[in-house]
Amino acid sequence: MIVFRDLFKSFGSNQVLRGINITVNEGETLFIIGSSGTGKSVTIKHLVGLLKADSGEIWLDGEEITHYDERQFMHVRKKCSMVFQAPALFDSLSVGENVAFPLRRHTRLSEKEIRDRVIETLSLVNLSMYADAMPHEISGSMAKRVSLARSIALRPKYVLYDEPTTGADPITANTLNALIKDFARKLKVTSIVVSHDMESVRQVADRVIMLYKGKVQFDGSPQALFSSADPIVRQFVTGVAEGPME
Amino acid sequence: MEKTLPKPAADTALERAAAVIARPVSGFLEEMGRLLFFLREIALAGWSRHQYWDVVRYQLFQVGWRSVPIAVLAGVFVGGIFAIQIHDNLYEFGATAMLGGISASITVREVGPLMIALLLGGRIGAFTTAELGTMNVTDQIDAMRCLATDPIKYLVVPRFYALIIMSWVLTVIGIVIGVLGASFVAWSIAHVNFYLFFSNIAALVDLYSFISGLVKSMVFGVFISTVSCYYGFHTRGGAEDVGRNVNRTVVILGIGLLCIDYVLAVLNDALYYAFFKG
Repeated sequence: MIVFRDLFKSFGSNQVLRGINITVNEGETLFIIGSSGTGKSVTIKHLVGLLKADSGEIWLDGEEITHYDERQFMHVRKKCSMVFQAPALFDSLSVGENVAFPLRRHTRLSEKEIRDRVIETLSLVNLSMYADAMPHEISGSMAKRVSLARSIALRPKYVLYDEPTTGADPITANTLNALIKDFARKLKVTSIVVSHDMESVRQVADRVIMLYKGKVQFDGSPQALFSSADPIVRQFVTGVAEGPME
Repeated sequence: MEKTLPKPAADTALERAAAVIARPVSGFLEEMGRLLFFLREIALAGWSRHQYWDVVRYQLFQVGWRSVPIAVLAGVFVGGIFAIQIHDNLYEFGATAMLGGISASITVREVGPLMIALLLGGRIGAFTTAELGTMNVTDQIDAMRCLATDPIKYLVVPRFYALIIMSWVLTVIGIVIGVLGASFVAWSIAHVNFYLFFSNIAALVDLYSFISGLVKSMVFGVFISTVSCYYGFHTRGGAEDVGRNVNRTVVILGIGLLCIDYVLAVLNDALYYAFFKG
């Protein structure tokens, strides 16, 4: 279970998080939505130690990780991986080597076992035939899928997705949504997805949290989100320019 | 009503002049401080028992083996140029027999290590900053962190080791080839035979000169790897920032290597006279 308690974060004079309280239950797929700059990505980056909170607490499986140093976060990152908005594949390594990267660093698997795990993981994203290709030889959509495969190579308990469908065409977005759902079902991972793609919310989310001005504005099921009477939530969901949102 | 006295003009001018001088000086000192902190971080990461030796081997190949042709070419030509230049002066004094000793002495102590360091700075330093900078702006370094791999240990420490080891190895290669190049030019142009050339080297080049040259090359290796990795690792923004930091690396390495060479030459001289000739 993941708990963010009274999380505050500012960058200079810009106060991004103003007391975030979120609990993520095991096995669920939680979507964090909200307009740009509301602190969605900032929130999840705290969980893997890419950002440090100004105040508040972050708990992971009953352990408080808020003040962990870089070395302690290495342990957290083995069970909590992150997929970035850009594929962020290591361009000097082949697709297969990208997926094998965490396996080589953190497991004692033999070369054959690593190869088998790489093919098995790439099969989950339908790219097993591209194991020898270099990142620049595959399309952007494929690179995104490889990035997803790499994030689950170590079979983490939690996967954080930072805007996985942003910039993707509708077919790719649907494929990525299906993969996120697949990972949750087949690998039993708990997922936190940062997104402003309402179609993804409809297809994949178990629960949705909407952030507005650094605070939780909505917390509930997708059905409750789409039928919410809150004018701020309504404006965001319908995407109309006129409304109470600044 | 209370009257406020106008500030004396001279004071304002003085303040302005002080600010003009203080700003770049404090900026320079801050940057040096950050570089030293980064070096400390590398040293701490490099000190631990667990290292990525496969990456170190790869970097040794990238940094070292691929730089051998450049070191050989530079060695031949620098040695040759020295032989020609020094020969003209020595000829006037009828001391061409000293050609081997003098050219070898300069190559071993000064020109060899500095020449190789400048070449490595241009070739490897710029490449390293561009590579790490690009990785940074495309989230690859954060992705590596999220895969529970310390980027300092995986990306910086292997380059640090490789640059120190290979700047040492390449300096030895550069010195040997430089002396051979000088001997060939001395024989073909100045008609100084090989026996005379090499027998004179032992008289002017002692073990201390050789060791001080190699120590210098290792210090240069530390400097090149620290500066190039620092600017790559701290690149933010996009392509323009990558270009700017590559440019910064090349300039700082060029000037910094010359400054360090001067300081080491002075130190070296002081040590030599204190312990060997004193």
